[in-house]
Order: sequence, then C-alpha cells, then structure tokens
Amino acid sequence: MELFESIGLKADPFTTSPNPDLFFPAKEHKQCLEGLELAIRMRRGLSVVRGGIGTGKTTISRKLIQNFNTDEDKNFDFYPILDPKFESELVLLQHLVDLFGIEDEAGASVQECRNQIEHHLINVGVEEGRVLVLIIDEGQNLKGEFLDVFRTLLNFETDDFKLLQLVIFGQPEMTSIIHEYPNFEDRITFNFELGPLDLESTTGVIKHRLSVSGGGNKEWFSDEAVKAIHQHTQGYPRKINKLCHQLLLNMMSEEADSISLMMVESTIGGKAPTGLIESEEPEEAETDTTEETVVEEVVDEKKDVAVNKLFDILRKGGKKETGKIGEDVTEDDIIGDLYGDQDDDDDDDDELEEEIIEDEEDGKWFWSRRKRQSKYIGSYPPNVGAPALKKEKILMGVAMDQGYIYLVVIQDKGGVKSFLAGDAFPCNKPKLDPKRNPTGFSVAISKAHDQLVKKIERKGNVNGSTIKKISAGCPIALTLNNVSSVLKTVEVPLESKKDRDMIIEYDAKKNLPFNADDIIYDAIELDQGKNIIGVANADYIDTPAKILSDKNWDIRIWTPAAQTILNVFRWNYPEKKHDIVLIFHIGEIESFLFGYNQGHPDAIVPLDLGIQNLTDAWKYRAKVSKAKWYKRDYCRVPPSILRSDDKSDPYKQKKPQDDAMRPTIESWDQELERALNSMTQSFPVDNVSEIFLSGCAKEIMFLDEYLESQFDVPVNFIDPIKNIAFHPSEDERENFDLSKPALTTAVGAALNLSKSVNLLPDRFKEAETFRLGNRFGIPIAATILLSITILSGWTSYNHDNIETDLNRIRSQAKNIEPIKASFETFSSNKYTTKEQLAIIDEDSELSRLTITIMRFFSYNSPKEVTLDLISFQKGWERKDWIHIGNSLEQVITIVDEDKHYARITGSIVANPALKERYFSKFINHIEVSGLFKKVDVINKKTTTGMDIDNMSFELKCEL
Amino acid sequence: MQKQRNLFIGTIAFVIVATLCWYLIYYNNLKNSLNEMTASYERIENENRKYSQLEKKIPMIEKEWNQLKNELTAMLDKIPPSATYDNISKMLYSLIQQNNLVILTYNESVVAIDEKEIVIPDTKERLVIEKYPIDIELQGNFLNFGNFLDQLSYTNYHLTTSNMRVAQNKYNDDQDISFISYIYTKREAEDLSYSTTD
Repeated sequence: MELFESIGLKADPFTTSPNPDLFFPAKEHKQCLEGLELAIRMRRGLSVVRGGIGTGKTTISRKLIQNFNTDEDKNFDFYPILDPKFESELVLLQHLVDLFGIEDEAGASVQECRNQIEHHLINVGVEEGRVLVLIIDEGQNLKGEFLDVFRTLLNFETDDFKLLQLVIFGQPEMTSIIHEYPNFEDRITFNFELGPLDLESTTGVIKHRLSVSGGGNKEWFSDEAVKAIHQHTQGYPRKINKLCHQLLLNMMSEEADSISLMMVESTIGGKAPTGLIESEEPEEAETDTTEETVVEEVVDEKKDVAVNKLFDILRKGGKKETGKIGEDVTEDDIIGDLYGDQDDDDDDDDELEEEIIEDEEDGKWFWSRRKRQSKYIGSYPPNVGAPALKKEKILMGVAMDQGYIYLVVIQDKGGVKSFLAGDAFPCNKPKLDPKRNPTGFSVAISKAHDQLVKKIERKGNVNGSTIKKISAGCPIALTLNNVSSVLKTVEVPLESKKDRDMIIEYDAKKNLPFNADDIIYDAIELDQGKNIIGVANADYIDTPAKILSDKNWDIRIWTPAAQTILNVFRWNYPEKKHDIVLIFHIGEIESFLFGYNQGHPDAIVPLDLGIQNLTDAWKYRAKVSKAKWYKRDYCRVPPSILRSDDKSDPYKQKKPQDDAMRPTIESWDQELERALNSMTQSFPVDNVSEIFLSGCAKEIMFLDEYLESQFDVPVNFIDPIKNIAFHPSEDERENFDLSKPALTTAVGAALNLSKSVNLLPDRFKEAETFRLGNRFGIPIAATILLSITILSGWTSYNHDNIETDLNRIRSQAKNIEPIKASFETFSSNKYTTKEQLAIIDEDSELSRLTITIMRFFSYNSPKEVTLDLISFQKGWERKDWIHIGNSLEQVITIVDEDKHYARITGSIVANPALKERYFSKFINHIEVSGLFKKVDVINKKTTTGMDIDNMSFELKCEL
Repeated sequence: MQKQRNLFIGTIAFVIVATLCWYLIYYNNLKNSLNEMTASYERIENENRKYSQLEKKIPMIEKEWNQLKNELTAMLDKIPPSATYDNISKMLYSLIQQNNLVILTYNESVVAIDEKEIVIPDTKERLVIEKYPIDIELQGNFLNFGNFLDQLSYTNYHLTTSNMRVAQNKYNDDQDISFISYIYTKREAEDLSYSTTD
C-alpha cells in the first residue's frame, strides 16, 4: 500500500476492520478474552459479551477464534453467525443444520431439525470428542424466541459438560431481551460487559497498532495528542482508530513527522465554547474575539490544504487502497472522514454507516439498521419508569438559576421521550431572587415562556395543536437552582423500617439552610433502606408559587435541582448504573457535588461557588460594566495552572482575564476540597471512575481539563438529551444550538421519572388532586353514560320482546279458557257441596260420638266399676273465690266453652289392694279407646272407716 | 387550577343530573312497565301450564263432586219438609215408649232454634234447614236407653241428640236420663227480593 509506505508503514495501522492481528490486549479486553477461552475450554455452555458500538466485540470474537487456531486445539470447531436475523425458529434450525455440516438435508419441521442437531452434537461431541463452538455476533438482533431455541440446544449435555458452546456478542440492549427469558439468562456462565478504554489502554492500542504495522518505536503521537484523542473518542476503540486514521492522513498531507495536540484539535474541530446564546448580538469590544476568529480561519485553511495534498498523494499512487489489510477505501470515504466528524458529540449514525461499509453490507440493511437504532433513542431504560398516574404526554421543564431561565419541552409518546424544543433565557440582571424580587421573577418567567413559544413557532417543526398547548399552558415541572430546596439521602436500616416515617421526618429537618419549622418534604425509597428526601422552604417557594399560580401556570412537579441531575443520569447513562461517578453541577452562584454510587445518590453536597464568581472577578478587574452579563465566553481556567500548559497552543496563550480568574479558581479548589472531604464518609470519593460536569461548566474553558488533571479520572460534560429522541427527526440533533449541560436541570425536571421527589406547594396540590380526579372521573363519567345508554337500549329491547311474548301467551291463554272454566266449576261445586254437607251434618258428628261413648261405657265398664253419672256438656265449671265486700264467696265460672266434655262419676268397690289397679286399668281403657282427646281425673277418694273398699272418682273427658 | 376544579365539579354534576333525569323520567317507567309485563307473562304462563296439567284431573274432580252430591242428596232425603214435623215427633215419642222408657218430660219446641240455608250446587236451589229441639227426660234402665239410641240412628229421619245425662237413680236401679233431641226439617228459601217487593 503506497499511501502508508510513504511514511514507513506496511499498511494502515488504524483500519476499523476486526483484524485479530491488530488486537491489543487492553485490560478489559484481555479479561474478556481469557474468560471466554476458559469457558469454552471447560465446556461450560453459554457466554455473553455485551458492549456498545465500537467497543471491540467483533475483534475479540475474531481473536478468540484465532487463539484456538493451533495444533493442540484442533478438536475445537468454531461456527460464526455474523447476523442472526432469521425469519423463524425453523429457518434458524435449518441454518444451524447446514452450518454444522450435517450430511442429511435439513428437516422440514422444528422437531426434525432439533433431532438432527442433537444427533450431530452427540456424534461429534461425545463419540469424536470435538468441541462445537457457535459464535453469534450482533446478538441484539436475535428475536426473543430464538433464545429459547438456543436454550434447548444448550440442554444437550453429558454428565460433565455441555455439548454445544455458545458465545453471543451484542449491544447492551440485548440485556433487556435476555431478561425476558430467565431460563436462558440462568444458563449464562460467563457474562461480560465491555466498556470504553482508559487512557493507558488507548495509548497502548495506538502504539501497538503502529508497531504491528511497522512503525517501530517512533513517537508518532505526542502524549497530549493521545490524551486529546482519548478525551474526544471517550475511549471507544473504533472511534480511536477512525480518528487516528484521519490524523495519519492529515500528517501525511502536512508532511509532518508526528501528530501533535494542535493537529488533533484541528482535525476534530475543537473550538473554545462560545456561550449559550449564539444568536445574540456580539459582545462589544471583546479583545479575544478577533484572535479567535483568526485562529479558526487558519485552521480552516490548513484543512483545505490538507485535503488537496492528500489527493495529490492518492493520484500519484494511482490506487485507492488505504493500506488496510484486505480492504478497499474510496475517495469519498477519506473526504467523508475529513469533513464528517467535526462534531464533538457521539454520532452513532456515522458509526453505523462505517460499520456497514466495513461489513460490506448492502444499503438496504444499513437503512433498516439505522432506523432500528434511532428507534431505541428515547425509550425508557431498564428499571426506569414513569410515575404511576402522573405520566404526562407533554411536559415543560423550567429551571431557574438566578438570571437564567432554561426551558425544555419533552414529549412522552408511545414510551419514547422526544425533545420538542429548548431555550435559555437570560434575564436583565444576573441575580434574580423570586422571593426578593417577585415582580422581576414574574416578568422574566413570562418573557422566557414567550421566547420559547416564538422559537418553536419560528422553527415550524412542531404541529399547531402542540404549539397551542404549549402556548396556552402545558404541564410544567419546575426547579429552582438555589437553597430553597435540597435533596438528601437517608438510609433507613431494615430493622427500623416501622419507624421510617419518623426517621425521614427527623432527617428532613436536620441541617437545613433554612427554617426547619416551615418545610415541605417528600421522601422516596429508591431501594431497600435507601431513601432520598426532598425538602423545600415552604415560606420561600410560596412567593414564586403564588406568582405562577396567578399566571395559571399548570405546575405539576416542583423538584430540587439535585433530583433533576439524578433523573438525567438515570435516563441517559443506564450503562453507568454500576459505576461510581461524581457529578459537578455548576450554577450561577450556587453549585453542588453529586456522588452517584452504583445506582444510588450517596451524597449531595452544596458548593458555595458559581460561574458568576468568575464573571464578577473579571468585571471587577476589567471594570467592564456595560457588557451584557450573560456574554461570558472569556471565562476559563488559566492555562498556566493546567498540567499541560502547551505554549504553542494558541488557545492556551495567556489572556488578560487569566489573572482575574486564577484566585477564583483557586478558591473553588479549596471549596471542592472541603466538599469532597465532607463527602468521604458517605461516598467512596477515591473510587470515582468518572466525573461529569453539568450546568454552566461548559462555559468555562479548560475546566474539564483542569479537573481531569486534578482528579486523574476522565471528566466529561453531561449530555442530558443523549437518550432523548429529537422531534421531528434525529437530524435536529446536529443543529442543536444550546449548551447541553446547561439544560440538565430543565431536562431532568421534564423527564418526570418514577422514584423522584415532588415538592409541589399546597396551592398546586389542590389542582393536582382535581386533575387526578378528572383523569379517572371523566372516563368513569363516560363509562356511566355509556352504561346508561346500553342499559336503556337493553331494557327497551327486552320491553319490546316481552310485549310481543305477552301478546302471544295471551292468545294461548284464550285456548285454555274452557279448561279453566270447567276446572273451576267442578272445583267450586265440589267445595260448595262439601260445605253444605258440613252445615247439615254439623250436629250429627257430636250426636254420633255421644251415642258411641254411651255404647262404650255400656259394654266396656268392668264389674268393679259403678258409673253414677255420664253427662255431656259444653265447657267446664271452675270454682273461683271472689271478694264480695269483706267476705270471700265461691262462684262457678264456665271455661273452655268451645269444647265438649263428658263428666263421668262413679265408684269402685274392691279389695283395697286391688282398687287402685282396677281404677288405673279403667282409665287406661278409656284412654286407649280413642274416643276422647284427653282424660283428666278430677277427683278420686276413698272414704275412711268402714267403707275402705269403696273408692269414688270423677273424670273430665274432652271430646 | 380553577379549570381542573370546574371541570371536575362540572363532570360530577353533569353525571348526577343526567343520571337522575334519565332514571326518573325515562328508565324508571320503562323498568316498571317491563317488570309488570314480565310478571303478567309469568303469571299467564304459569296458569296456562297449570291448567294444561289440570285438564287431566278434571274427570277425577267431577267424580268426587258426584259422590259428595250423592251424599248430600241422601242427607237431604232424610230431612223431611217442615209440614211433617208432627209426624217425626210422634215417631220419636213412640220410639221411646217402645223401648220401655218412662217419659217424664217431653217438651217440643214449635220454633226452630236454628236455620241454615244451603244451596244445591248443580241446581242452585236454595233450601232452609230448620232445627227443632225437644227436651226429654226419661227413666229406665241403661240397656233400654242404649237400644233406643241404636234405633234412633237407623230411622228415616235425620235426628241428633245432645246434652245427654245419665245418672243413677238414688232409690232404685233405674237411671235418670235427660237429653235434647233435634228434629230437622227443610223448606225452600224465600225469595227475599220478591218478599221485599211484595
């Protein structure tokens, strides 16, 4: 390859093809490779490697295969599937049958194919002792049902090992697919997540590739250049290769010997931050502006020269090869590289495009892939959800930080969050306290809202109804970046769970920067025992709340600034859930440090500093008072206190403001040190793997570099809209004209995530209650009305039906009338006759009974019994004593007059020993006769003296 | 904020008013009418079913009625017309005598103590049954009195007794017997409407 031979290299060292010869054993990559090798050699079955785009997964898979390409490992057979997109389970299994080289034709059914594969695995794995390794790349393209297919294949095993070794490489979104199949997930024996490279590994990769490509020990890249490359590429290997490839081409064009920091910056288009309001009129008489413009022009000119020289080299060579082993590259590719990646932000689409070119896929696949990739942006990350009952379709996030009001509008539609619009509104004065200056606040907030609406209307990419909604007053999430509200973390021990409320209340009131007697607080349990508490100064926030309420602003969420940072981090950086990260939010005059430890905010420490410290210092020194306060592109960390103070860098040359900035930055240093010391107990400061900068940080040039040198960990600006789709298309992202870190609090408020505290003042709570009521009430009302309508229809339908049936049955009843008449006649006659008989026979019954009784006593009285009287009567006499005057008189009263009785008196003459027995027998005889209902002995006596044989009796027998 | 409250109150008020109006003006009447018709339908259906089943029982009921009618006819045959009252009384008096019972008292009543009107079911003929008491006191032995009672049962007339009292005579072996015998006669009921106009 002539192109690279001209600089003494055998080939392109920074090809982005997955060439295993260029593999550099970076720490993580080495761990991954060794783990995979071990899992395969021990035949443990399933291994999964996840990693973002361009983290080196494919290269590792190629290296893995290469590592087994020795004579000792001849019994290992590798079968790669580069793109596992299959129409169905059957097609996949048929492909596997073909891939494994099974001689029989693939079966027509799933079961047949399974049987074929099983027999093959047993034959090859057990009888021949070979190890079959199936490697699947792009695992995120696997349909969930295919995981079940692989699970069944993994079930084929001996007592000691699995017959099939399966290694899946895929992007992080594959995790959610695997989560849906816990049986499959359980079988993962080696699970590895690849991340970007650290600075050391980045240096190693660059040197290793140059060395392998014949670059020897020459210092091709300066240390600063490597550091800038690492910072720009964030350690992603493919980005590193891409940038280094470009840098080599630039070096060749400029006929330079090595690559310097300036060349890197020139190539990546790195420029000083220009502040938030690019559209604003230029600052009056700013000394630096001219210099910067000159530098930019020089850089642009250099770039043009570089392109022309490169064309010359290519034309001279007469070939279009780039020197990459076995790969062609076109002019367009090179030109694309020169112009295509000037943006600092990650550009996944470019990544994808390049990946597709490398893999020689067709354009159709590229577009479908791109579409799918953009589909994921804005989706809810795993374990992050919307708050129950409070999901808003459109939510405006408003963050007020002294003189700046940041506004964003986020749409949540179909589970995807989209960025509709955003704006930053600078007020007239840099410091604006809603409590002290309510009028100023009222005016500013209205102006900010109007400016946003006008901006949306001007852009014209949001539909009319949405604009109308935003203009009329859509739901708003508000945050004030000052000490009026704070976020705390509290750990409630599991054993004290029942006292949680008490502990929370106690901690909420502890160490507040305002009066603890008048507070609003809200607590959320993030995880077992780990809580966050939001506390607001009720007296303070009542003023802005009243103003907003009077303006009819529909405030739904009122959240502390720290909560918004947490929301942004949870939403945009789910891959860092297990990391320990420090977020430095710089506000206008108040800032804070946020310690994020593996999914939890461990410490939130306020900082008594802000960007206005720098502007105040400069204004004081330069006595500039007329300049607009928000034009502050002069803010920077003096290069002299940076570790890499490159004098040749035009940006790092001493500027007038440096002397003014230095004492402030040094005081910040002390404040940071104090804050970090106070965090140490609750947050592992020493183990921080990355620092994110939020708020106004991007307006302070070299702040990231300064902090990186201070803490010796990567420092990056937080991107609050990294995982938020752009409306109407992702192309809008490229035209984004605001500072992303500055929007963090507004975006964080508008994200509206579950497990967030809400410090909504009482005056909004009532509306919130009614709104919730309406959310359920209106559907319920509609249901009631619908039910009423259905019920009316149903009843009316039944009414008509029964009316018809009734007419029919009435005509049937006419037919039955004669039967009814005869039945009723006969029944009536029968009844009447019975009645007439009873009337006539009324006395006969008693008469017959009387005669029967007479007969009974006539024929059945024993000879010992003499009956003196048989008398039939109605009722019975009862003797009563009544007072008549002073004397007691006996009277006879007839009782039971409706009953008939027989009075029987008589006597028994017999031996005293027998007369009782005779009497009993006589009574018994009467009782069993059945002629009487009841027999009572009224009187029974034996006369004393000579008549001892004689016993007289009186019986009362009821007929 | 007011908007949400007004919307809530408006919704609730609308639902309540609409539901009440619907119920009171429309649905309640419709439902009542439906209930009534359903009840009528069920009643008629039950009747139809019941009479369809009872159709088979009609001959049996007719037979029972005929039996009762015969009984009634037989009974009425034993009750002679009022004009024959004296004949019956004489028959009773002689029956006592025939059984060697000494008649101490035989007080006939010329006035019926009870009158009952009956209707002959098939002819709808109305008859008045009159009941005449005869207070009787006898002396005699118990056996003769028994025979008397037996014969009384088998006469062609409908005769009954009550307030029977049989007591041992203190001076001889005979019994003092007292009872009330009732004679029943019949006559056609007077047509009251006719009587009134007459």
